[in-house]
Amino acid sequence: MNTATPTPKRSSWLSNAALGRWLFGLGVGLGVLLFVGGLVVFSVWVEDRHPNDDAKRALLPGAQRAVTKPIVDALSRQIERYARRRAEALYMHTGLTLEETIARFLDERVDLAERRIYAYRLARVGSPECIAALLKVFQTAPAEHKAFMAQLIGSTGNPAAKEWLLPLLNDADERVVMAAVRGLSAIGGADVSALIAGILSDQQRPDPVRIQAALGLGDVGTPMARDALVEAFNMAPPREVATQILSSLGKFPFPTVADTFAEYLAEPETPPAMRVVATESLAFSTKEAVPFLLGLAGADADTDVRASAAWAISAQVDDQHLGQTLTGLAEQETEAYVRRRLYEALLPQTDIPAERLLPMIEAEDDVAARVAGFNALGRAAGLRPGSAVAAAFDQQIVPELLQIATSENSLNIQMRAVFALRRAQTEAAQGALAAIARSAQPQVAIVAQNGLWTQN
Amino acid sequence: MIQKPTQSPRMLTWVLSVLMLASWATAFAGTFTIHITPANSGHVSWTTTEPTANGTITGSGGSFPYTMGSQTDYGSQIVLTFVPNTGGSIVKVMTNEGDDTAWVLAHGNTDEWDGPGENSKTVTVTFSGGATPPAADPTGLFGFSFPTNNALLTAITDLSGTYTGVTVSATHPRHYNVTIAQDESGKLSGMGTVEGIVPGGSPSKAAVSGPIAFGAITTVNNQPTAQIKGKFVGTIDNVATTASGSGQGPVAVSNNYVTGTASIQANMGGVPYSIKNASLALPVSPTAASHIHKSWSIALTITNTASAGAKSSIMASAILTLPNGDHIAFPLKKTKYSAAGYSLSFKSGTDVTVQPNALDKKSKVSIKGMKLTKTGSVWNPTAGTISYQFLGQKGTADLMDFVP
Repeated sequence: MNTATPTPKRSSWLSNAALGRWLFGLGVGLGVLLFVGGLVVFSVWVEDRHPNDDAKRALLPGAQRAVTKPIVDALSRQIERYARRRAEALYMHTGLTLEETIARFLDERVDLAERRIYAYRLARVGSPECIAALLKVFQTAPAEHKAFMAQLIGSTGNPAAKEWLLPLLNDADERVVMAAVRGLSAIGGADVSALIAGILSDQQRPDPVRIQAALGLGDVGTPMARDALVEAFNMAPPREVATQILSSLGKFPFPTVADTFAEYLAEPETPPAMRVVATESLAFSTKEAVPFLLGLAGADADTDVRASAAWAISAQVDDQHLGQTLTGLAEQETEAYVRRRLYEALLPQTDIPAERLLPMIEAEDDVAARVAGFNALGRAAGLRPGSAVAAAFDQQIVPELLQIATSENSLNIQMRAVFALRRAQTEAAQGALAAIARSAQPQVAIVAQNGLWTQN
Repeated sequence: MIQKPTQSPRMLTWVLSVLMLASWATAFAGTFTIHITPANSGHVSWTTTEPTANGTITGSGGSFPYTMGSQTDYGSQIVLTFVPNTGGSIVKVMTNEGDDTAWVLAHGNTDEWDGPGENSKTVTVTFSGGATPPAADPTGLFGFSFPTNNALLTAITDLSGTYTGVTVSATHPRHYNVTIAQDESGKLSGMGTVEGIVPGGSPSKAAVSGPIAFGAITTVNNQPTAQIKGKFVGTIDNVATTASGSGQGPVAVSNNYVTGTASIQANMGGVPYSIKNASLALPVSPTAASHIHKSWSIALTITNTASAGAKSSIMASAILTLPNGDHIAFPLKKTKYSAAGYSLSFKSGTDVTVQPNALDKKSKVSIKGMKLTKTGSVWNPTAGTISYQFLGQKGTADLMDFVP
């Protein structure tokens, strides 16, 4: 018997026409995706290698401004959001829902020292329920906790928090005022700068509040904030306030504050200690400060200023080709303390002239200068594995570093001796680290242990 | 049981006899009070045999207790020796029993009392002429320690140590270890490793020295405050990354966290981004918190270098023990005690922990208005102000807060 198997009915979505349309759509989608992906990758590559805002390197500035730059900016914003979320994870990811957070924040059975950190999340979310909870706790909180929360609320960066913090600038408790200044500085803005500048210049305010205002303007970092700092500095404030003004000015791009620093350091009436403060402030400035600092490190009559300038240079990690210049300064320097700082300034450099440095460092009597020099040589050996420098480091320096780390000495010196071995990354240095990990005092042994390639 | 009535009168007689005998044999006890006029014109040395004791009365006078033996003991004795200042003489010695001047001058400037005697005597001696020696300057060993439990005082912090833990992140926590070395100027140097982050040039090694970290601790508004800067070139989770960042905040652990603000400029996989003034909270385990040292002390030695034929002078030296365990020895220096107390300034000491020993120009301690009073033979500080500056930080406090 011939039994006919019924032909299965082709479903409508698998009809030829529909399949064709579906495949076509998929192809178009993939094509668009590939195009967008390619455009993003291309934009990132172009802006990385040929940044639109660098006239010398940009390929097609106009086209880049219109196409690639906006794409990279959008990506940057996403990464910034992600990074900020990571930074505030402690406050935002507490394992509690928002409702639970509010309930816990209001729970008076819990010590306020424990629940005050929830102020961050509530201020960040900023819903009416959150604001109500914050207000309730804020009204009765002791000054110490009020200050903690004020700073935390400001650090959310939420501009709406200004409304909360501004009245606290006139609080009777100095701690609350200072916390409000800190919080407002984190939010920033022209209105905030003007208010904080007023506090800095107000001689009726206590010095700690004025110091906090100077710190805050440094954080705000706008030209307006800088001008306010310079203006206050020119009014001859008390020394502690002046110290913080200089520290804050040091954070600005060097070309914008160069004249202020140059004039102050050149004035004969400037106290020696304040010249040191001014010089060290530039550690946190931009790379344009390096030539100025090199001038001070090489020619200033004051040993402490030369040492401070060398130290500040070591923070300028963007310019990594100062090895020869710094070595030249060390060769002409008569004070071991300044040479030590110059050796430290060599650490971020990639062109460390180890051959020139070796005899000079071997002749150092001061152990701190000697160990600083060994760190520079260790870095040079690490940059050039298998080189003559690395061999000399292994033969001449490793035994001494091992001896320093394992015999009685200052903890600071012992730790830095281990740092030098870790920087070198040679087999002999690894052997010494293993020996130190076995036999040195615990605080030093752990530093060596963490520097081993194999952690066993 | 009924006692015999004849026993009562006999018992009473016996008790009365014992009481009378005891009364007759009881020692006389009292106080000898000496007045010296004019004050500081000489001194009076005394000795007693019951109990065996001696001492010296100076200034405008003083007193000492005595026991004049018993009615049966005629051997007990009190002797006073009157000594005018160099070049001076005894003018008069009056006791509450009369004028003893002639007796004293005839018996080598001494006066004496043998038992039995009377309670409490007063002797007034008048000297004339002679140079007045200066009052004795306070000397001794004085230890002062920073009270780490007093949050109102400005602390000096040492961060040297290795900090291990896990970064705060709900999505991607990473194990890290960071070692910080802090020098005598408060300058920081750090090395460490973070899981998934590999510095350029050493991708094949499991653990290598990480980003260059750099910074300093200073005192801002009476709080130790760290300012840190760093740069990293390498890969994060295999994505090429360069980053430079800075952060600052007070070095204070609150609820197991150190908080501050941080700013970062980075380029991750070719995408630049920056974060300004982000809130930063670093978890600090109890072990890590134990690396934050605030304990320090200063041991002060003040001596009188008086020697025969030489003019005496007061010398002071000190040993400062820093929070990092280093000992700074400040050499002997001349000082003097005035109505305002001692004013001492120690700087340019020698770090005797560093081998070989090294000059430390960064550690300074000054103590002003340090007043002392004598209790028994020991001088104790009663007032003063201490200013301290080391490890890049500084503070000022009431010296009495540092008295253990």
